[in-house]
Amino acid sequence: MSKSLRGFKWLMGTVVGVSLLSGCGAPPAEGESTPAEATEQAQGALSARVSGPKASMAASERVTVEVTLTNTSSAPVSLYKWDAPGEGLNEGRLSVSRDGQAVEYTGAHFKRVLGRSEDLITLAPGQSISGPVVVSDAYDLSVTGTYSIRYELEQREGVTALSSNEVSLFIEGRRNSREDAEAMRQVTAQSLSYSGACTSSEQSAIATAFSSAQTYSNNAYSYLNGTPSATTRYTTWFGTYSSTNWSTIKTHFNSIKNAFASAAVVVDCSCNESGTYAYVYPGSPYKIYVCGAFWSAPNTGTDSRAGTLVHEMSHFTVVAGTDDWAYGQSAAKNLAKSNASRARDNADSHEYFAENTPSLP
Amino acid sequence: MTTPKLECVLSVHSKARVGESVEVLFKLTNRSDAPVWVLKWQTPLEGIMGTVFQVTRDGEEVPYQGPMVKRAAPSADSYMAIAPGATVENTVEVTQAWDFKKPGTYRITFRDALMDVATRKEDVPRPGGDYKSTPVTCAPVDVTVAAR
Repeated sequence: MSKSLRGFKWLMGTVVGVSLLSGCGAPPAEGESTPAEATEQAQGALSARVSGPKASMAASERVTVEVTLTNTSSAPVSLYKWDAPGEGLNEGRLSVSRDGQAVEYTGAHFKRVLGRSEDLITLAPGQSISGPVVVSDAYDLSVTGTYSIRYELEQREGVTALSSNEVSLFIEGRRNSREDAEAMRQVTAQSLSYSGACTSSEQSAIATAFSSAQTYSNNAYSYLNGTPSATTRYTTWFGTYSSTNWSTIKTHFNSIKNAFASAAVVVDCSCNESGTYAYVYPGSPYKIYVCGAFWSAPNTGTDSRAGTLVHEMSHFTVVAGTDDWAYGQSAAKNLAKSNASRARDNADSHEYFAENTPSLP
Repeated sequence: MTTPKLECVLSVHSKARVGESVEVLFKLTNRSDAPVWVLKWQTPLEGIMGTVFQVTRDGEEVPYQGPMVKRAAPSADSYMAIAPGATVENTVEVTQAWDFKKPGTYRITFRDALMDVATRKEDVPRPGGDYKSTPVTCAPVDVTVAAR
């Protein structure tokens, strides 16, 4: 099937289970190189074991732990490949704490298409898989201390919950990308922040697009706040005019502009899909995931970054609750003619009305 | 050019328990005598990347919780060819995108149209985004979810 969708993964386990663990690890002796390893704990069908390469890590060192999963049952066990260690486990199923305090996960959140057999790995009875899991790119290691690390998997279809042994590592504090993100947040709009490892140039481009999206939605609302009539701009994108229909769209843009003005919007950069501009989960305001096509788009104009943000903002149930009935200008114009009520519920129609490119009276 | 005749069938196990997965099989059969190319967007042929279904529980709408995606122009890969008489199908698990945690009778209905159906290979992908939305009717399916 579609290759283009392979990289597009569905969000699951947004919050990695960070539980408070006892900070039981004593600070290791300087220069100690014995692998920090403990006994494995079996829980249900799979058991997990975590080991560290050495007990003490300097700030310049990448921190990686080795995770091994073993099927300890007498039947095959399937799990998603992104839950398995090794290549692809970027979103740690790790629970990390420092001196008894939970450490925040700062890495990317991935979006998973669930239920596809090609994403499953099956472990035969007795079979193990193991691989590295990077800690330093994904958890806040800015403070020097003794970190306790455990691999955890929540219960899901066919796999019981499991928790590994805990390893203790003495880690020297290092700067992390999260600090850069925090610094950036203070100099951009107060209501905008970033997740999913946006680079500083991406953050800057998003802030520009966000500001243009505010202008777009303010202007669209001002236009709709004028005297209602069957204007070309209205009928091109939303079809049959009536004062009620106009009022529906005015209500939508009132909510969209208010959200851009005051909601705590998070823009996430972890999606790289080139065939996709962006996406949201309509019930999870105000997080907007931007993807590959977003970066190829101009800041303003048709199918621009600013317009894409308007499109996505309109989807949130608490904003305008729009759907996707038609994609692209041509299809959106046809929808306005063939089914005006769906045009009023179509995200791209809102985007094109706001972008107003070419400008219509 | 005649409108291609496409037959759509949904199927699902009619009973499930709370917490179990609910898998819906979507089948599309080409009943015309020439091949067609179907844009997979907003169909289960590409998984659940939008509101491919409307779901109700005992007649009440269940809100969609999955992703809503703004697409760039489609590529040839965004289409699926169906030879005359052939069927394409895909199974999707729906409980991640709609909440099936309450007992009741859930009705699953496919959208009433395919976003684009081409009858000539040279129209794949459709130039200029001039899609030919094509109505299609799948009978809705019901699944009764019982408490554990």
